[in-house]
Amino acid sequence: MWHRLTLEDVKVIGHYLGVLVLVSAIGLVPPLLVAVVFGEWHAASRYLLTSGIFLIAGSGLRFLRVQPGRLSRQQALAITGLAWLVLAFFAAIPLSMSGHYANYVDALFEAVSGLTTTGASVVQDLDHLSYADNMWRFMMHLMGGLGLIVVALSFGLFGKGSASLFTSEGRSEHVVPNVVQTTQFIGRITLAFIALSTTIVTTLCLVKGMEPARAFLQSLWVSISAFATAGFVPMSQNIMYYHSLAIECVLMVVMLLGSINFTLHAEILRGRIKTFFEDTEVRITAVWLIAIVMVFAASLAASRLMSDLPAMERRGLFMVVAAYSTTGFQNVTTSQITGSFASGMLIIAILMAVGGSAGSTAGGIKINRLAILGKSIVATLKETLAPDTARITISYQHIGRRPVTPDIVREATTVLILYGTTYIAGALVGIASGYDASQAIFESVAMASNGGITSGIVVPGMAWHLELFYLLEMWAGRLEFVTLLALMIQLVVSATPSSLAMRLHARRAQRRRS
Amino acid sequence: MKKERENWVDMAPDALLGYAVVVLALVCFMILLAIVVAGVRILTGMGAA
Repeated sequence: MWHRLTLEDVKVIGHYLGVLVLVSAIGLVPPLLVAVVFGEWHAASRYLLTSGIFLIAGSGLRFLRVQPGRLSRQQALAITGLAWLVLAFFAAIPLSMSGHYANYVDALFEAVSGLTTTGASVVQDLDHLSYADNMWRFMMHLMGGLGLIVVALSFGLFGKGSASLFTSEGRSEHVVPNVVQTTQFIGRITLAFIALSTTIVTTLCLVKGMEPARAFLQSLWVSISAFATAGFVPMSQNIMYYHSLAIECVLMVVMLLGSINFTLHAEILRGRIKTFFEDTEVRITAVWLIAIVMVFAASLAASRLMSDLPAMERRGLFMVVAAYSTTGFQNVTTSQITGSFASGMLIIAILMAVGGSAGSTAGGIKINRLAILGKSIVATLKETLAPDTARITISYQHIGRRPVTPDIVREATTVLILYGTTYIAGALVGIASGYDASQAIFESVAMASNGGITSGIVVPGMAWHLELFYLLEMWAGRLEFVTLLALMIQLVVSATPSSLAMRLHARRAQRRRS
Repeated sequence: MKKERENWVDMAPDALLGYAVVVLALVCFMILLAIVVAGVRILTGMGAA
């Protein structure tokens, strides 16, 4: 029996959505400040107006009074799923009024791409986008990378509902036993790395002769984008704009740090380095990257444009790290990806599809899930070959030995199948829209894994049906499907006329009996 | 709050050392990947191209 939403559920969901909208209004402060500092008055008025809309809508929803109590799992799933969509609708407002987007759907796509840390962009004339609009694009990355619920929880909101909300956003591990302290820890680590990266990249930009204010802002933006493994960039030439090996190296390290599980960050901070190097996921990641780099280098060796060693080292390695971490930065052009780089295109797609570590800001299926499934296959083979009386137990290393239970295997299998299905469905929609099969597969994987590297399908003014499908893929991928599917089922079941009629009938029968 | 702050201060040397080792490992890993690229290039016989 599917769970149906009651009027009380709707009130609770509305109330907490209002709280989330109000909290997200804080993200509008930096763009507003930047607009005022740089005298971008048109942008300032847009952000002031949007702040008003956030505050009015948030306060309006909060008026739905609810009894204080523990949030049910169904309510938490609905709040999280809807929060990502509702906030994207609001976040697109200032962008759509900027004149840099063909229509509101393009601005909505940009907002979803920003919040889900996909990083695929449909902005027109990016090089002349105002500082304030750029600031907002990267604020969306920051909020989305941390997680909207994590941001809200770190302020100590939601009280008793914290735990179920936290797990509904694709996070299951607590760094410290308390959810609020965990979210504060994630926020602190993120801000510390962004600050450090900004300082280094700003210095490198200043050495290159960039104007100080511009150097600082662009460094801040690419640093946010790198640690949140997001992918927006402030210049249309992407990372190639900086022409700096040093900046590319710094960003590679930041992207790799961003794709490390936050619980391992906590272990490193506590000085337990051994735990980090013993972790199954870390070890498999190292082997995975070495293997993929070998195949990638072999494929590039055949390419005329990339076959010289410095180009292979620089462009190849950077693209591998950007794809593995699902950041989506590019230091090759889109035409190179589909042209001279085409042999490596599938490898990039596989890297994005698999993604980074669980519990990090990276997207994709996650190395951890594949490791668990691999271990489960080994256990099956062992059981087949072992005597009938033998009992096979398998475990993996993650802050101590943990057993691979049937529940963990089931969760990993479910998510793997859902990702696979979405990748295929997106590819079919792309092919049906007239695109080349390899291009359609690449783009679908880039969207659902929140990788964001584009093969040229995602462009301003693209076909709206494809845009909406990709938007759905990004949303589903960020929430790791279960939350989204649960929300959809709840909404459909609650709104089905037959179910409404049944409930009405049941109520009448109850009245008659009483 | 105060106790938590004290913990952070106590942890600072360990944390710095921890991250220094991890960043160093990442850099070494990137160098290893670069060597792998060069090795594959030689093996595929594209060195002279």
